[in-house]
Amino acid sequence: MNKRTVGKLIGVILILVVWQVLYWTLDLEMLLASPFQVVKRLFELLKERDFYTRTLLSASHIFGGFITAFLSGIILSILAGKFSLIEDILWPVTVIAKAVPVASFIVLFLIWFDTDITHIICFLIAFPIIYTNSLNGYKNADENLLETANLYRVSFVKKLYYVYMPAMKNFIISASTVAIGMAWKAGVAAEVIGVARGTIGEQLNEAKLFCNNADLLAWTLVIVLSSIIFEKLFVLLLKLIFGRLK
Amino acid sequence: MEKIIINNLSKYFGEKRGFDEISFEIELCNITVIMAPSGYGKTTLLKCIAGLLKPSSGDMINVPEKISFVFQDDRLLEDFSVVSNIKFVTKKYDEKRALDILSKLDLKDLQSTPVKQLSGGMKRRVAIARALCADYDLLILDEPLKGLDNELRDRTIDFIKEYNKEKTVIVVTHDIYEAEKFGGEIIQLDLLKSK
Repeated sequence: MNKRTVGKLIGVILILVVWQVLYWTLDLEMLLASPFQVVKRLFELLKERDFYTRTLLSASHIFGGFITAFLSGIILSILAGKFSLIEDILWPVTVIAKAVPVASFIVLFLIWFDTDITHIICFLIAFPIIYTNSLNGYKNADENLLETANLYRVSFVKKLYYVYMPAMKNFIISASTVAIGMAWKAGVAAEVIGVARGTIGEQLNEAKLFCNNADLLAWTLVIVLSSIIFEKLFVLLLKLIFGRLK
Repeated sequence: MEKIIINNLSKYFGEKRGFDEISFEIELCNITVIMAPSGYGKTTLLKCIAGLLKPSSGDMINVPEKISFVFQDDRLLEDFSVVSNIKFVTKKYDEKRALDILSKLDLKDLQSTPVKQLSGGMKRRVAIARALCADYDLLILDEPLKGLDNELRDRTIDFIKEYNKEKTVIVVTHDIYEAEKFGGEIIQLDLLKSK
């Protein structure tokens, strides 16, 4: 086990210790369930079919919103990098998407649409992160390589493959890790506020109504773990794709 | 014989002088070596000839359209293989020609190696190979042999000369041995100016 893994393990153990001490101090299950109760509840959930259908439904909505934001963010950042007019047109959109509280968007869309809005919210949260970072990567492309490409009249597609994509790679990967976490947070918030049927958010809402702290924290753990697994898998996929640029 | 004519060419970056009122002629289908002290604007002049910079004043006549350039810095795609670097600058990749050039520069076994794994001298040779693989009528070499040992330098010069018998080549160097080894006309920019 390397030093960093040991450090992370110590961090997790510290959180569990603080949590347990808080549980003993409060001594009221309604306010805070113990780590043991939460893990026990999680294992109970794992035995239920409903757990998987809910997790899959929420994950599919969140992934749908994220992947739409990911693809459109990258495509639009390339267009914005090439045509400054597109960057200018998109500027207010990204500023609004970044500045407006997610709750305002959720309520607004719930008024407008009589359906699950999770994917729209996830898109709105993830898009500016992906777009802005991807555009920064595009602008970070090596000027000397671009000058060389111009000398040899290299096509834009070739420049994109050989110069821009390698420059955008790290920006896109780091933006994705942030955006995935944000998409899960905002997506579940939208499910809770909108009481989206058959989702994790609905379970969180019910846990709140019945003051079922173990349920609330067990589902929260599911969200955290899903977000981490989703992030790791997606970053791995991106690294595989970018690794083919050679 | 037709010539490239550089007539009263100047380049300024705002107030800063790149070079000032330079005039000379370069014979087409020949090697011309340009020499001048450091800071004389040799690289800037080459970039103007290549069309990468717009001169502030003066004319250039008969400059070929298709130009290949070995820059002072290697300007290679570090994450990509040697072959990908060649593909980057060629419209149609001619494998036979590329492998011939790579083998002459002792790079054939490294064709699939990512450039970032190569030494400085190898990268220099990749930059030269890439420029030679491109489609060009004028080859510009800006201090092309930096970092090569004497034996490799001599062999590389011989190969460049052999490979470009029918092409126009402009070489910038500050090394008189290299200049003489390349042969052809030597233009001393600082002496031109004082005429």
